[in-house]
Amino acid sequence: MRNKIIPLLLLCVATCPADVLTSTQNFLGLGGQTPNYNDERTPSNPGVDEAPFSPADSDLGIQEILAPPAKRSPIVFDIRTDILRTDNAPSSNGNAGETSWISSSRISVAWRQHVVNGWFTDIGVYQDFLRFDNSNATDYENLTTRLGIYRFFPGFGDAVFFATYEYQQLTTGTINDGDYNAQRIRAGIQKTLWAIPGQELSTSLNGAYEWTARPETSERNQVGTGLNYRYSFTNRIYSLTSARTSYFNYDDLGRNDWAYEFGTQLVWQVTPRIQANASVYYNKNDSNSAGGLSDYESWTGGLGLGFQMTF
Amino acid sequence: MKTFTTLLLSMTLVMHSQAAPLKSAIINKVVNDVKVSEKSAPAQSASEGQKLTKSSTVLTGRKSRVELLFQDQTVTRVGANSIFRFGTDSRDMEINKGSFLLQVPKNAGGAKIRTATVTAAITGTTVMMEYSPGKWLKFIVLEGVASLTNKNGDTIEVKPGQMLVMNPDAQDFPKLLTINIDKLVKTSKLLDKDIFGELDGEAVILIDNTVVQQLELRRKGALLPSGVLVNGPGAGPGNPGIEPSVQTILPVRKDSDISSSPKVSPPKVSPL
Repeated sequence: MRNKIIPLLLLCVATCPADVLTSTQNFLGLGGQTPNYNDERTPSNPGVDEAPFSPADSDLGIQEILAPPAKRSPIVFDIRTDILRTDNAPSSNGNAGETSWISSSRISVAWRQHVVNGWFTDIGVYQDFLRFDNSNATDYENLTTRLGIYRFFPGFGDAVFFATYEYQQLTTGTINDGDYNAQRIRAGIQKTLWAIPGQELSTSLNGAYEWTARPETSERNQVGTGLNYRYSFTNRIYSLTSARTSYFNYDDLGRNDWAYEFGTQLVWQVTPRIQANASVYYNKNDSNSAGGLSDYESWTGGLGLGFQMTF
Repeated sequence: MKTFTTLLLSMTLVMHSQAAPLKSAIINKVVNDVKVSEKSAPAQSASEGQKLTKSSTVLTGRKSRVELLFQDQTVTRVGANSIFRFGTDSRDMEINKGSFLLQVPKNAGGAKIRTATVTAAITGTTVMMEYSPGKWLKFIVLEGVASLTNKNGDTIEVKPGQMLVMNPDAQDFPKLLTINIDKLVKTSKLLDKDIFGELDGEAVILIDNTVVQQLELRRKGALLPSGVLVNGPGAGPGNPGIEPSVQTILPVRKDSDISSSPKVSPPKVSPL
């Protein structure tokens, strides 16, 4: 589901071709894509049809539907594609500000299952394919797998704690062990700060410890935070506006980066399985690396279409 | 055992038959536009401390609410845009439209809430209800147990924390939903302490018990928030108050339509 954003982020950035990670960072999200565990708190949404809005609801109060977890949660299969335009594609010429059309496709499989006493497992794998029409831009593939756990804490306003092992691999058109790969542990919390029907403000804080990466100069640790606001125009059309920032501390050469991302998207849930969206994102990376080699900023926007199946 | 059961049943019937009818009530709290009509007399503005006798009809306007206290400490809070009636030498109440909260003390003899098509029987229970003729009926139990009967004579039991939402003319009862009572209590105007004050102490404790039980289930992962929030604007700019015709011509059962498009939270998709 969340993949919709990611591809959008696809952008851009141009940096030294050797620094694969930095150049692809914003289309991968700032330091990986943490699933929104509030996203699918229950496999279905019981009550949507059964509990309509009615005029006296403000007298009665907000009716939040609760439901037991499924005995066997469905495996969720997603496929989506986005056509985007960026003003700063990752280029072999460095951070040259070259515009490009981007075709981004993702295939993902995820399974979240209640195990015991409120703890859930989260298993997922996704593969991205990024293709740029600019001949100077570098095409990428990104493979990410995760194996984690998470839990809701009702006493803390349904905050979600999660911890995940991640393996990530970037390739450039070849099937091998990657131009870049890394293993890390990520942990954090997600929390809805405010919610009324049709609107929600949520936040997240997470940190990632990387114990191995190749090339070694890419090994880094991360602390990130984000704020999301969702506004529903109708039951099927809503907007998502987000602001995120991450701090990266590289093991090598004392490099530190601050990365920022601001964006908004309009989502149309055409059917329960089909989703269309339009989005625009701004990304900026501010690095202390010599010569501003890893600094970049970009605008990216476009349209996407996704299809989901559960079984 | 059979004898004991028979005896118990007989005692229960006797208790019901001895329960005093809801003959009179005192208006405890008036918020904004509240009117009262005795029998078929024109409606008059209600005032706090006013005594209501049998066959009274209470009407509330836009953003208006009222609390009634009956002689047996039964509390009724009527929400905005509602028409509520009681007093037919029984323990029956009738809601023509709108919303209300009813808290009947234990051992008070229970009560029946009647609509045109569905009747709810409660005994020592705190419930909230909304009724819009021909449109929908919402029934929420905060503590205790209620039994609803439709026009076919079918019955369904609603337990603490459960909500029934149905078309009042439906032939069958839909499945019951579980809702977050903690969130409901904190956001309900009918339970707003600043407006009405606290409910009866025992009821508050029992509602707290419902909240605690749900919290325990949620801690165990046996109940999860579905991400679905249901809440409407109530009597806002888009929803009229009492229609003039209803204010002046009483009693009237008018199926006024103040419907709006359903608005619930869609599934979330935001990545963080």
